[in-house]
Amino acid sequence: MPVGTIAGALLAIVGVVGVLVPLVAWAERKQAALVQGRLGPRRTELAGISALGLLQPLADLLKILGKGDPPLKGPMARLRGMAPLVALIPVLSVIAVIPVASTYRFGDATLRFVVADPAWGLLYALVASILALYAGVIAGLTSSDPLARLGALRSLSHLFCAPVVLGLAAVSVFLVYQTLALPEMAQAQDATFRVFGFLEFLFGVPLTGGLAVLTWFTLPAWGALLQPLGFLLFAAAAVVGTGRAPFDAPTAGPELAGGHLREYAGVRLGLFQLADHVAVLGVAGLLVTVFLGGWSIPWLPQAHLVDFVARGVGSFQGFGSGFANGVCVSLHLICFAGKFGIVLWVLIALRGGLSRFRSDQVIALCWGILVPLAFLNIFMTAWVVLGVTGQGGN
Amino acid sequence: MDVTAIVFYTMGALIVIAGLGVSFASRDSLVTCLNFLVVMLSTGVIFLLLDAPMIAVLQILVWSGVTGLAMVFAVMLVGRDNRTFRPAGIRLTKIAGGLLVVIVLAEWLRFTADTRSSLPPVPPGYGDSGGLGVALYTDYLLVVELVSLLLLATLVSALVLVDRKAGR
Repeated sequence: MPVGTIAGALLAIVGVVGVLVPLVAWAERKQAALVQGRLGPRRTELAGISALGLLQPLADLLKILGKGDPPLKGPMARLRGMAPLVALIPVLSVIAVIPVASTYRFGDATLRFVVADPAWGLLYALVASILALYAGVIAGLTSSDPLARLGALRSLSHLFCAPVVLGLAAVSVFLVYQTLALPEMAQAQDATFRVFGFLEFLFGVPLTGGLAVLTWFTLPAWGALLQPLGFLLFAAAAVVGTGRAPFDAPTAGPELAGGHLREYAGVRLGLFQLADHVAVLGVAGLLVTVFLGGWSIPWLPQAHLVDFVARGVGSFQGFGSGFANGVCVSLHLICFAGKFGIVLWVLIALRGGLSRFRSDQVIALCWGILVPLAFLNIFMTAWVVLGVTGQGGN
Repeated sequence: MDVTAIVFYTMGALIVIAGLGVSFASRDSLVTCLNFLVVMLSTGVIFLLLDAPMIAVLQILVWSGVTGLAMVFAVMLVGRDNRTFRPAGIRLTKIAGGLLVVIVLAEWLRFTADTRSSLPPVPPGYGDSGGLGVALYTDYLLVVELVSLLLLATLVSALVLVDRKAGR
Protein backbone atom coordinates (compact mmCIF):
# COMPACT_ATOMS: atom_id res chain seq x y z
CA MET A 1 0.00 0.00 0.00
CA PRO A 2 1.49 3.40 -0.95
CA VAL A 3 2.70 5.64 1.85
CA GLY A 4 0.50 8.45 0.54
CA THR A 5 -2.64 6.35 1.01
CA ILE A 6 -1.72 5.42 4.58
CA ALA A 7 -0.88 9.05 5.39
CA GLY A 8 -4.17 10.13 3.82
CA ALA A 9 -6.12 7.57 5.84
CA LEU A 10 -4.45 8.66 9.08
CA LEU A 11 -5.06 12.32 8.24
CA ALA A 12 -8.73 11.58 7.48
CA ILE A 13 -9.22 9.69 10.76
CA VAL A 14 -7.45 12.35 12.83
CA GLY A 15 -9.33 15.12 11.01
CA VAL A 16 -12.71 13.46 11.45
CA VAL A 17 -12.31 12.23 15.02
CA GLY A 18 -10.18 15.08 16.31
CA VAL A 19 -11.73 18.09 14.58
CA LEU A 20 -15.05 17.41 12.89
CA VAL A 21 -16.65 15.21 15.56
CA PRO A 22 -16.03 17.77 18.36
CA LEU A 23 -17.43 20.45 16.05
CA VAL A 24 -20.56 18.38 15.43
CA ALA A 25 -20.97 17.79 19.17
CA TRP A 26 -20.63 21.52 19.79
CA ALA A 27 -22.99 22.42 16.94
CA GLU A 28 -25.61 19.99 18.29
CA ARG A 29 -25.52 21.66 21.68
CA LYS A 30 -25.65 25.15 20.20
CA GLN A 31 -28.45 24.23 17.81
CA ALA A 32 -30.52 22.69 20.61
CA ALA A 33 -29.91 25.86 22.63
CA LEU A 34 -31.08 28.01 19.73
CA VAL A 35 -34.29 25.99 19.34
CA GLN A 36 -34.99 26.10 23.07
CA GLY A 37 -34.07 29.76 23.53
CA ARG A 38 -30.99 29.08 25.66
CA LEU A 39 -27.42 30.28 25.35
CA GLY A 40 -25.90 26.82 25.16
CA PRO A 41 -22.41 25.87 26.34
CA ARG A 42 -20.23 28.89 27.20
CA ARG A 43 -18.55 28.13 30.50
CA THR A 44 -15.60 26.06 29.32
CA GLU A 45 -12.62 28.36 29.24
CA LEU A 46 -8.93 28.14 28.45
CA ALA A 47 -6.83 31.03 29.77
CA GLY A 48 -9.99 33.04 30.29
CA ILE A 49 -11.22 32.63 26.71
CA SER A 50 -14.48 30.71 26.25
CA ALA A 51 -14.64 30.98 22.40
CA LEU A 52 -18.41 30.36 22.22
CA GLY A 53 -18.03 27.21 24.29
CA LEU A 54 -15.95 25.45 21.63
CA LEU A 55 -14.07 23.62 24.37
CA GLN A 56 -17.27 21.95 25.59
CA PRO A 57 -16.64 18.73 23.59
CA LEU A 58 -13.29 18.40 25.36
CA ALA A 59 -15.06 18.72 28.70
CA ASP A 60 -17.59 16.10 27.53
CA LEU A 61 -14.74 13.77 26.57
CA LEU A 62 -13.05 14.17 29.96
CA LYS A 63 -16.37 13.50 31.65
CA ILE A 64 -16.95 10.29 29.70
CA LEU A 65 -13.39 9.07 30.29
CA GLY A 66 -13.73 9.85 33.99
CA LYS A 67 -16.92 7.82 34.37
CA GLY A 68 -16.75 4.24 35.47
CA ASP A 69 -17.18 1.57 32.82
CA PRO A 70 -18.74 -1.32 34.72
CA PRO A 71 -17.93 -4.75 33.26
CA LEU A 72 -20.78 -6.13 31.18
CA LYS A 73 -22.35 -9.22 32.68
CA GLY A 74 -24.28 -12.10 31.23
CA PRO A 75 -23.65 -14.99 28.85
CA MET A 76 -22.84 -12.77 25.87
CA ALA A 77 -20.91 -10.01 27.57
CA ARG A 78 -17.98 -10.27 25.15
CA LEU A 79 -20.22 -9.90 22.11
CA ARG A 80 -21.97 -6.97 23.76
CA GLY A 81 -18.60 -5.39 24.48
CA MET A 82 -17.77 -5.49 20.77
CA ALA A 83 -20.95 -3.71 19.70
CA PRO A 84 -19.52 -0.16 19.99
CA LEU A 85 -16.70 -1.13 17.61
CA VAL A 86 -19.22 -2.68 15.20
CA ALA A 87 -20.95 0.71 15.23
CA LEU A 88 -17.82 2.78 14.79
CA ILE A 89 -15.47 1.01 12.36
CA PRO A 90 -17.81 0.77 9.32
CA VAL A 91 -19.00 4.39 9.54
CA LEU A 92 -15.43 5.58 9.95
CA SER A 93 -14.43 3.65 6.84
CA VAL A 94 -17.15 5.39 4.80
CA ILE A 95 -15.19 8.64 5.14
CA ALA A 96 -12.36 7.03 3.13
CA VAL A 97 -14.37 6.93 -0.11
CA ILE A 98 -15.66 10.53 0.01
CA PRO A 99 -13.64 12.87 -2.23
CA VAL A 100 -13.19 16.33 -0.68
CA ALA A 101 -11.62 17.80 -3.84
CA SER A 102 -10.79 16.83 -7.41
CA THR A 103 -7.59 15.40 -8.93
CA TYR A 104 -4.84 17.90 -9.74
CA ARG A 105 -1.58 17.68 -11.66
CA PHE A 106 1.52 19.40 -10.36
CA GLY A 107 4.17 18.71 -12.98
CA ASP A 108 4.58 14.93 -12.95
CA ALA A 109 2.86 14.47 -9.61
CA THR A 110 -0.87 13.88 -9.23
CA LEU A 111 -2.63 15.04 -6.10
CA ARG A 112 -5.89 13.35 -5.14
CA PHE A 113 -8.16 14.23 -2.26
CA VAL A 114 -9.73 10.87 -1.55
CA VAL A 115 -8.26 8.08 0.56
CA ALA A 116 -9.70 5.17 -1.42
CA ASP A 117 -11.29 5.26 -4.84
CA PRO A 118 -13.04 1.95 -5.52
CA ALA A 119 -15.20 1.70 -8.64
CA TRP A 120 -18.11 0.73 -6.38
CA GLY A 121 -17.70 3.51 -3.78
CA LEU A 122 -21.40 4.28 -3.37
CA LEU A 123 -22.27 0.61 -2.85
CA TYR A 124 -19.43 0.33 -0.38
CA ALA A 125 -20.81 3.25 1.61
CA LEU A 126 -24.25 1.60 1.65
CA VAL A 127 -22.82 -1.75 2.77
CA ALA A 128 -20.73 -0.17 5.53
CA SER A 129 -23.66 1.84 6.84
CA ILE A 130 -25.86 -1.28 6.92
CA LEU A 131 -23.20 -3.24 8.80
CA ALA A 132 -22.94 -0.43 11.35
CA LEU A 133 -26.66 -0.77 12.03
CA TYR A 134 -26.03 -4.27 13.37
CA ALA A 135 -24.39 -2.70 16.43
CA GLY A 136 -27.72 -1.67 17.92
CA VAL A 137 -29.20 -5.08 17.21
CA ILE A 138 -26.26 -6.93 18.79
CA ALA A 139 -26.18 -4.58 21.78
CA GLY A 140 -29.90 -4.96 22.42
CA LEU A 141 -30.48 -8.63 21.66
CA THR A 142 -27.55 -9.83 23.76
CA SER A 143 -28.85 -7.91 26.74
CA SER A 144 -31.23 -9.34 29.30
CA ASP A 145 -32.85 -5.97 29.79
CA PRO A 146 -36.37 -5.90 28.27
CA LEU A 147 -36.13 -2.23 27.30
CA ALA A 148 -32.83 -2.82 25.53
CA ARG A 149 -34.41 -5.74 23.65
CA LEU A 150 -37.37 -3.62 22.71
CA GLY A 151 -34.93 -1.00 21.41
CA ALA A 152 -33.19 -3.67 19.34
CA LEU A 153 -36.53 -4.79 17.90
CA ARG A 154 -37.26 -1.23 16.88
CA SER A 155 -33.75 -0.96 15.39
CA LEU A 156 -34.45 -4.10 13.39
CA SER A 157 -37.73 -2.76 12.08
CA HIS A 158 -35.96 0.43 10.96
CA LEU A 159 -33.26 -1.71 9.39
CA PHE A 160 -35.87 -3.28 7.16
CA CYS A 161 -36.82 0.16 5.86
CA ALA A 162 -33.88 2.49 5.44
CA PRO A 163 -31.46 0.30 3.43
CA VAL A 164 -34.20 -0.60 0.94
CA VAL A 165 -34.96 3.05 0.17
CA LEU A 166 -31.24 3.92 0.16
CA GLY A 167 -30.52 1.12 -2.31
CA LEU A 168 -33.40 2.10 -4.62
CA ALA A 169 -32.36 5.77 -4.52
CA ALA A 170 -28.81 4.68 -5.36
CA VAL A 171 -30.14 2.81 -8.43
CA SER A 172 -31.59 6.00 -9.91
CA VAL A 173 -28.34 7.85 -9.15
CA PHE A 174 -26.43 5.08 -10.89
CA LEU A 175 -28.69 5.42 -13.93
CA VAL A 176 -27.87 9.12 -14.20
CA TYR A 177 -24.10 8.98 -13.64
CA GLN A 178 -23.54 5.48 -15.06
CA THR A 179 -20.90 4.94 -12.39
CA LEU A 180 -20.72 4.02 -8.72
CA ALA A 181 -17.34 5.68 -8.09
CA LEU A 182 -17.84 8.76 -5.93
CA PRO A 183 -14.98 10.86 -7.43
CA GLU A 184 -16.42 10.27 -10.91
CA MET A 185 -19.87 11.30 -9.68
CA ALA A 186 -18.46 14.54 -8.28
CA GLN A 187 -16.56 15.11 -11.53
CA ALA A 188 -19.73 14.57 -13.57
CA GLN A 189 -21.43 17.35 -11.58
CA ASP A 190 -18.67 19.82 -12.43
CA ALA A 191 -20.70 20.93 -15.46
CA THR A 192 -23.94 22.70 -16.33
CA PHE A 193 -27.10 21.68 -18.11
CA ARG A 194 -29.58 23.76 -20.07
CA VAL A 195 -32.81 24.26 -18.15
CA PHE A 196 -34.96 24.23 -21.30
CA GLY A 197 -32.95 21.55 -23.07
CA PHE A 198 -35.84 19.17 -22.53
CA LEU A 199 -37.89 21.18 -25.08
CA GLU A 200 -35.41 20.21 -27.80
CA PHE A 201 -35.67 16.63 -26.63
CA LEU A 202 -39.48 16.71 -26.67
CA PHE A 203 -39.93 18.44 -30.04
CA GLY A 204 -36.83 17.04 -31.70
CA VAL A 205 -35.70 20.42 -33.11
CA PRO A 206 -33.07 22.86 -31.81
CA LEU A 207 -34.25 26.09 -30.17
CA THR A 208 -33.64 28.84 -32.73
CA GLY A 209 -34.84 32.38 -33.42
CA GLY A 210 -36.49 34.07 -30.45
CA LEU A 211 -36.43 30.84 -28.49
CA ALA A 212 -32.62 30.72 -28.65
CA VAL A 213 -32.58 32.95 -25.59
CA LEU A 214 -33.84 29.96 -23.61
CA THR A 215 -30.57 28.15 -24.26
CA TRP A 216 -28.78 30.74 -22.11
CA PHE A 217 -30.40 29.50 -18.93
CA THR A 218 -28.16 26.89 -17.38
CA LEU A 219 -27.96 25.24 -13.97
CA PRO A 220 -25.15 23.26 -12.36
CA ALA A 221 -25.53 19.57 -13.21
CA TRP A 222 -25.94 18.66 -9.56
CA GLY A 223 -27.58 15.42 -8.59
CA ALA A 224 -30.17 17.28 -6.52
CA LEU A 225 -31.29 19.20 -9.63
CA LEU A 226 -31.19 16.22 -11.99
CA GLN A 227 -32.66 13.85 -9.40
CA PRO A 228 -34.69 15.99 -6.96
CA LEU A 229 -36.85 13.07 -5.87
CA GLY A 230 -33.83 10.77 -5.55
CA PHE A 231 -32.14 13.40 -3.40
CA LEU A 232 -35.09 13.67 -1.02
CA LEU A 233 -35.46 9.88 -0.82
CA PHE A 234 -31.76 9.34 -0.21
CA ALA A 235 -31.62 12.07 2.43
CA ALA A 236 -34.70 10.78 4.25
CA ALA A 237 -33.51 7.16 4.22
CA ALA A 238 -30.01 8.16 5.31
CA VAL A 239 -31.39 10.04 8.33
CA VAL A 240 -33.59 7.03 9.21
CA GLY A 241 -30.51 4.82 8.89
CA THR A 242 -28.45 6.89 11.31
CA GLY A 243 -31.12 6.36 13.96
CA ARG A 244 -30.94 9.98 15.01
CA ALA A 245 -33.82 12.23 15.96
CA PRO A 246 -36.54 12.39 14.70
CA PHE A 247 -36.05 8.68 13.87
CA ASP A 248 -34.55 7.69 17.21
CA ALA A 249 -37.42 5.52 18.45
CA PRO A 250 -34.96 2.63 19.19
CA THR A 251 -33.14 4.72 21.78
CA ALA A 252 -35.97 7.04 22.75
CA GLY A 253 -35.20 8.47 26.16
CA PRO A 254 -38.71 8.92 27.58
CA GLU A 255 -39.97 5.49 26.48
CA LEU A 256 -36.98 3.14 26.50
CA ALA A 257 -34.50 5.13 28.58
CA GLY A 258 -31.79 4.74 25.97
CA GLY A 259 -32.85 1.37 24.48
CA HIS A 260 -29.82 -0.70 23.56
CA LEU A 261 -27.49 1.96 25.01
CA ARG A 262 -28.94 1.49 28.50
CA GLU A 263 -26.26 -0.78 29.85
CA TYR A 264 -23.28 1.05 28.42
CA ALA A 265 -21.26 3.69 30.23
CA GLY A 266 -17.87 5.34 30.07
CA VAL A 267 -15.67 4.64 27.07
CA ARG A 268 -18.09 2.20 25.40
CA LEU A 269 -20.93 4.72 25.51
CA GLY A 270 -18.46 7.31 24.24
CA LEU A 271 -17.65 5.05 21.26
CA PHE A 272 -21.37 4.76 20.45
CA GLN A 273 -21.69 8.54 20.56
CA LEU A 274 -18.58 8.90 18.42
CA ALA A 275 -20.07 6.48 15.87
CA ASP A 276 -23.30 8.50 15.89
CA HIS A 277 -21.44 11.73 15.10
CA VAL A 278 -19.21 10.10 12.47
CA ALA A 279 -22.34 8.65 10.83
CA VAL A 280 -23.81 12.17 10.48
CA LEU A 281 -20.55 13.34 8.93
CA GLY A 282 -20.65 10.41 6.51
CA VAL A 283 -24.25 11.12 5.51
CA ALA A 284 -23.46 14.81 4.98
CA GLY A 285 -20.37 13.90 2.92
CA LEU A 286 -22.35 11.46 0.77
CA LEU A 287 -25.20 13.92 0.19
CA VAL A 288 -22.76 16.66 -0.84
CA THR A 289 -20.76 14.34 -3.10
CA VAL A 290 -23.63 12.53 -4.77
CA PHE A 291 -26.26 15.27 -4.98
CA LEU A 292 -24.76 18.71 -4.34
CA GLY A 293 -21.85 18.77 -6.73
CA GLY A 294 -19.18 17.67 -4.26
CA TRP A 295 -16.22 20.01 -4.49
CA SER A 296 -17.36 21.66 -7.75
CA ILE A 297 -18.01 25.39 -7.94
CA PRO A 298 -21.32 26.18 -9.71
CA TRP A 299 -20.91 27.49 -13.28
CA LEU A 300 -17.10 27.34 -12.95
CA PRO A 301 -15.72 24.00 -14.13
CA GLN A 302 -12.26 22.99 -12.98
CA ALA A 303 -10.66 23.34 -16.43
CA HIS A 304 -12.02 26.89 -16.86
CA LEU A 305 -10.92 27.87 -13.36
CA VAL A 306 -7.35 26.59 -13.85
CA ASP A 307 -7.17 28.23 -17.27
CA PHE A 308 -8.53 31.52 -15.93
CA VAL A 309 -6.07 31.70 -13.02
CA ALA A 310 -3.13 30.54 -15.17
CA ARG A 311 -3.85 33.26 -17.73
CA GLY A 312 -4.31 35.85 -14.98
CA VAL A 313 -0.92 35.17 -13.40
CA GLY A 314 0.80 34.05 -16.58
CA SER A 315 2.49 37.42 -17.04
CA PHE A 316 4.29 37.12 -13.68
CA GLN A 317 7.53 35.21 -13.44
CA GLY A 318 7.58 32.05 -11.39
CA PHE A 319 3.84 31.38 -11.52
CA GLY A 320 2.52 28.70 -13.80
CA SER A 321 -0.09 26.01 -13.92
CA GLY A 322 1.11 24.76 -10.51
CA PHE A 323 0.01 27.99 -8.88
CA ALA A 324 -3.29 27.89 -10.78
CA ASN A 325 -3.88 24.34 -9.58
CA GLY A 326 -3.02 25.41 -6.03
CA VAL A 327 -5.66 28.15 -6.18
CA CYS A 328 -8.09 25.63 -7.64
CA VAL A 329 -7.43 23.15 -4.79
CA SER A 330 -8.06 25.86 -2.18
CA LEU A 331 -11.29 27.04 -3.82
CA HIS A 332 -12.58 23.50 -4.23
CA LEU A 333 -11.80 22.64 -0.62
CA ILE A 334 -13.57 25.80 0.54
CA CYS A 335 -16.54 25.00 -1.70
CA PHE A 336 -16.81 21.45 -0.35
CA ALA A 337 -16.47 22.67 3.23
CA GLY A 338 -19.20 25.27 2.68
CA LYS A 339 -21.70 22.77 1.25
CA PHE A 340 -20.73 20.20 3.89
CA GLY A 341 -21.28 22.72 6.68
CA ILE A 342 -24.71 23.71 5.39
CA VAL A 343 -25.88 20.08 5.00
CA LEU A 344 -24.50 19.23 8.42
CA TRP A 345 -26.36 22.13 9.98
CA VAL A 346 -29.62 21.06 8.33
CA LEU A 347 -29.13 17.47 9.56
CA ILE A 348 -28.47 18.72 13.07
CA ALA A 349 -31.41 21.12 12.88
CA LEU A 350 -33.73 18.18 12.09
CA ARG A 351 -32.90 16.82 15.53
CA GLY A 352 -34.25 19.85 17.29
CA GLY A 353 -36.90 20.81 14.79
CA LEU A 354 -39.03 17.67 14.39
CA SER A 355 -40.81 15.54 16.94
CA ARG A 356 -40.00 11.83 17.15
CA PHE A 357 -41.60 9.38 14.70
CA ARG A 358 -43.02 6.20 16.19
CA SER A 359 -41.60 2.95 14.81
CA ASP A 360 -44.84 2.08 13.01
CA GLN A 361 -44.87 5.57 11.48
CA VAL A 362 -41.31 5.04 10.22
CA ILE A 363 -42.32 1.71 8.64
CA ALA A 364 -45.44 3.24 7.10
CA LEU A 365 -43.41 6.18 5.79
CA CYS A 366 -40.76 3.94 4.23
CA TRP A 367 -42.87 1.15 2.76
CA GLY A 368 -46.01 3.16 2.08
CA ILE A 369 -44.49 6.32 0.61
CA LEU A 370 -40.73 6.22 0.06
CA VAL A 371 -40.41 2.77 -1.56
CA PRO A 372 -43.19 3.34 -4.15
CA LEU A 373 -41.77 6.79 -4.90
CA ALA A 374 -38.29 5.29 -5.28
CA PHE A 375 -39.60 2.72 -7.79
CA LEU A 376 -41.44 5.49 -9.67
CA ASN A 377 -38.22 7.51 -9.71
CA ILE A 378 -36.23 4.57 -11.08
CA PHE A 379 -38.69 3.95 -13.93
CA MET A 380 -38.94 7.64 -14.84
CA THR A 381 -35.15 8.08 -14.71
CA ALA A 382 -34.59 4.97 -16.82
CA TRP A 383 -37.15 6.22 -19.36
CA VAL A 384 -35.48 9.64 -19.63
CA VAL A 385 -31.94 8.20 -19.73
CA LEU A 386 -32.99 5.74 -22.44
CA GLY A 387 -34.68 8.56 -24.36
CA VAL A 388 -31.69 10.91 -24.11
CA THR A 389 -28.88 8.47 -24.74
CA GLY A 390 -30.82 6.10 -26.97
CA GLN A 391 -29.33 3.14 -25.12
CA GLY A 392 -29.10 1.75 -21.64
CA GLY A 393 -25.78 1.83 -19.88
CA ASN A 394 -22.20 2.42 -20.98
CA MET B 1 4.07 -14.81 2.52
CA ASP B 2 2.56 -11.64 1.08
CA VAL B 3 -0.38 -9.67 2.43
CA THR B 4 -2.86 -11.28 0.01
CA ALA B 5 -1.96 -14.77 1.23
CA ILE B 6 -2.21 -13.71 4.88
CA VAL B 7 -5.65 -12.16 4.30
CA PHE B 8 -6.77 -15.21 2.29
CA TYR B 9 -5.76 -17.74 4.95
CA THR B 10 -7.17 -15.59 7.77
CA MET B 11 -10.50 -15.28 5.98
CA GLY B 12 -10.45 -18.99 5.10
CA ALA B 13 -9.89 -19.90 8.74
CA LEU B 14 -12.65 -17.52 9.81
CA ILE B 15 -15.06 -19.09 7.32
CA VAL B 16 -14.31 -22.58 8.59
CA ILE B 17 -14.52 -21.65 12.28
CA ALA B 18 -17.66 -19.55 11.90
CA GLY B 19 -19.16 -22.21 9.59
CA LEU B 20 -18.63 -24.85 12.26
CA GLY B 21 -20.12 -22.37 14.71
CA VAL B 22 -23.25 -22.15 12.55
CA SER B 23 -23.65 -25.92 12.51
CA PHE B 24 -22.60 -27.11 15.91
CA ALA B 25 -21.38 -24.64 18.48
CA SER B 26 -24.21 -22.68 19.91
CA ARG B 27 -27.55 -23.29 21.51
CA ASP B 28 -28.42 -19.67 20.88
CA SER B 29 -29.91 -18.93 17.45
CA LEU B 30 -28.65 -15.35 17.60
CA VAL B 31 -25.04 -16.55 17.86
CA THR B 32 -25.72 -18.91 14.95
CA CYS B 33 -26.96 -15.95 12.89
CA LEU B 34 -23.93 -13.86 13.79
CA ASN B 35 -21.62 -16.76 12.86
CA PHE B 36 -23.41 -16.92 9.52
CA LEU B 37 -22.79 -13.20 9.04
CA VAL B 38 -19.06 -13.72 9.71
CA VAL B 39 -18.99 -16.49 7.07
CA MET B 40 -20.63 -14.17 4.53
CA LEU B 41 -18.41 -11.18 5.34
CA SER B 42 -15.26 -13.30 5.07
CA THR B 43 -16.45 -14.75 1.77
CA GLY B 44 -16.96 -11.19 0.55
CA VAL B 45 -13.35 -10.35 1.42
CA ILE B 46 -12.15 -13.41 -0.52
CA PHE B 47 -14.12 -12.21 -3.55
CA LEU B 48 -12.28 -8.89 -3.17
CA LEU B 49 -8.98 -10.77 -3.30
CA LEU B 50 -10.19 -12.49 -6.48
CA ASP B 51 -10.61 -9.11 -8.21
CA ALA B 52 -14.38 -9.41 -8.14
CA PRO B 53 -15.28 -6.30 -6.12
CA MET B 54 -18.84 -6.08 -7.40
CA ILE B 55 -19.61 -9.66 -6.34
CA ALA B 56 -17.93 -8.96 -2.99
CA VAL B 57 -20.08 -5.91 -2.32
CA LEU B 58 -23.25 -7.66 -3.48
CA GLN B 59 -22.35 -10.70 -1.37
CA ILE B 60 -22.10 -8.56 1.75
CA LEU B 61 -25.10 -6.39 0.83
CA VAL B 62 -27.45 -9.26 0.06
CA TRP B 63 -26.34 -11.85 2.63
CA SER B 64 -25.13 -9.74 5.52
CA GLY B 65 -27.39 -6.80 4.83
CA VAL B 66 -30.72 -8.30 3.94
CA THR B 67 -30.75 -12.05 4.55
CA GLY B 68 -28.89 -11.77 7.85
CA LEU B 69 -31.37 -9.18 9.03
CA ALA B 70 -34.31 -11.35 8.05
CA MET B 71 -32.75 -14.23 10.00
CA VAL B 72 -32.19 -12.10 13.11
CA PHE B 73 -35.77 -10.89 12.84
CA ALA B 74 -37.03 -14.47 12.59
CA VAL B 75 -34.93 -15.40 15.62
CA MET B 76 -36.54 -12.57 17.55
CA LEU B 77 -39.98 -13.91 16.65
CA VAL B 78 -39.52 -17.65 17.25
CA GLY B 79 -37.17 -17.49 20.23
CA ARG B 80 -33.44 -17.85 20.56
CA ASP B 81 -33.05 -21.23 22.19
CA ASN B 82 -32.12 -23.80 19.54
CA ARG B 83 -33.12 -26.67 21.87
CA THR B 84 -36.77 -25.66 21.92
CA PHE B 85 -36.89 -25.24 18.16
CA ARG B 86 -37.39 -28.72 16.71
CA PRO B 87 -39.42 -28.54 13.53
CA ALA B 88 -40.62 -31.74 11.85
CA GLY B 89 -38.19 -33.33 9.43
CA ILE B 90 -35.10 -31.78 10.98
CA ARG B 91 -33.21 -35.09 10.78
CA LEU B 92 -33.99 -35.42 7.08
CA THR B 93 -32.75 -31.86 6.54
CA LYS B 94 -29.51 -32.67 8.33
CA ILE B 95 -28.92 -35.76 6.18
CA ALA B 96 -29.67 -33.78 3.02
CA GLY B 97 -27.32 -31.03 4.19
CA GLY B 98 -24.54 -33.55 4.85
CA LEU B 99 -25.03 -35.08 1.38
CA LEU B 100 -24.89 -31.62 -0.19
CA VAL B 101 -21.58 -30.92 1.57
CA VAL B 102 -20.12 -34.17 0.23
CA ILE B 103 -21.31 -33.43 -3.32
CA VAL B 104 -19.94 -29.84 -3.29
CA LEU B 105 -16.62 -31.05 -1.86
CA ALA B 106 -16.29 -33.76 -4.52
CA GLU B 107 -17.15 -31.28 -7.26
CA TRP B 108 -14.60 -28.82 -5.93
CA LEU B 109 -11.88 -31.47 -5.80
CA ARG B 110 -12.65 -32.50 -9.38
CA PHE B 111 -12.62 -28.87 -10.53
CA THR B 112 -9.30 -28.03 -8.89
CA ALA B 113 -7.70 -31.23 -10.21
CA ASP B 114 -8.86 -30.39 -13.75
CA THR B 115 -8.14 -26.70 -13.98
CA ARG B 116 -5.51 -25.81 -11.42
CA SER B 117 -2.98 -24.56 -13.95
CA SER B 118 -5.15 -23.92 -16.98
CA LEU B 119 -7.39 -21.07 -15.82
CA PRO B 120 -7.03 -18.11 -18.20
CA PRO B 121 -6.51 -14.63 -16.70
CA VAL B 122 -9.72 -12.63 -16.52
CA PRO B 123 -10.04 -9.72 -18.98
CA PRO B 124 -10.00 -6.18 -17.57
CA GLY B 125 -13.41 -5.00 -16.42
CA TYR B 126 -14.56 -8.57 -15.83
CA GLY B 127 -16.99 -8.74 -12.92
CA ASP B 128 -17.79 -5.01 -12.79
CA SER B 129 -21.37 -3.77 -12.69
CA GLY B 130 -21.75 -3.52 -16.49
CA GLY B 131 -20.35 -6.97 -17.21
CA LEU B 132 -22.36 -8.49 -14.40
CA GLY B 133 -25.59 -6.91 -15.66
CA VAL B 134 -24.98 -8.11 -19.21
CA ALA B 135 -24.16 -11.64 -18.01
CA LEU B 136 -27.25 -11.81 -15.80
CA TYR B 137 -29.62 -10.64 -18.51
CA THR B 138 -28.16 -12.63 -21.41
CA ASP B 139 -26.45 -15.91 -20.45
CA TYR B 140 -28.24 -16.37 -17.14
CA LEU B 141 -31.61 -14.85 -17.98
CA LEU B 142 -33.50 -18.08 -17.32
CA VAL B 143 -31.98 -18.48 -13.86
CA VAL B 144 -32.71 -14.84 -13.00
CA GLU B 145 -36.31 -15.23 -14.08
CA LEU B 146 -36.72 -18.49 -12.13
CA VAL B 147 -35.35 -16.89 -8.98
CA SER B 148 -37.59 -13.87 -9.43
CA LEU B 149 -40.57 -16.23 -9.80
CA LEU B 150 -39.52 -17.90 -6.55
CA LEU B 151 -39.36 -14.52 -4.82
CA LEU B 152 -42.77 -13.61 -6.21
CA ALA B 153 -44.20 -16.88 -4.88
CA THR B 154 -42.68 -16.12 -1.46
CA LEU B 155 -44.22 -12.67 -1.50
CA VAL B 156 -47.65 -14.02 -2.42
CA SER B 157 -47.43 -16.73 0.28
CA ALA B 158 -46.48 -14.14 2.88
CA LEU B 159 -49.45 -12.01 1.87
CA VAL B 160 -51.80 -15.01 2.06
CA LEU B 161 -50.48 -15.92 5.52
CA VAL B 162 -50.89 -12.37 6.79
CA ASP B 163 -54.36 -12.17 5.29
CA ARG B 164 -55.41 -15.41 7.04
CA LYS B 165 -53.99 -14.24 10.33
CA ALA B 166 -55.90 -11.01 9.97
CA GLY B 167 -59.04 -13.18 9.83
CA ARG B 168 -60.13 -12.28 6.35
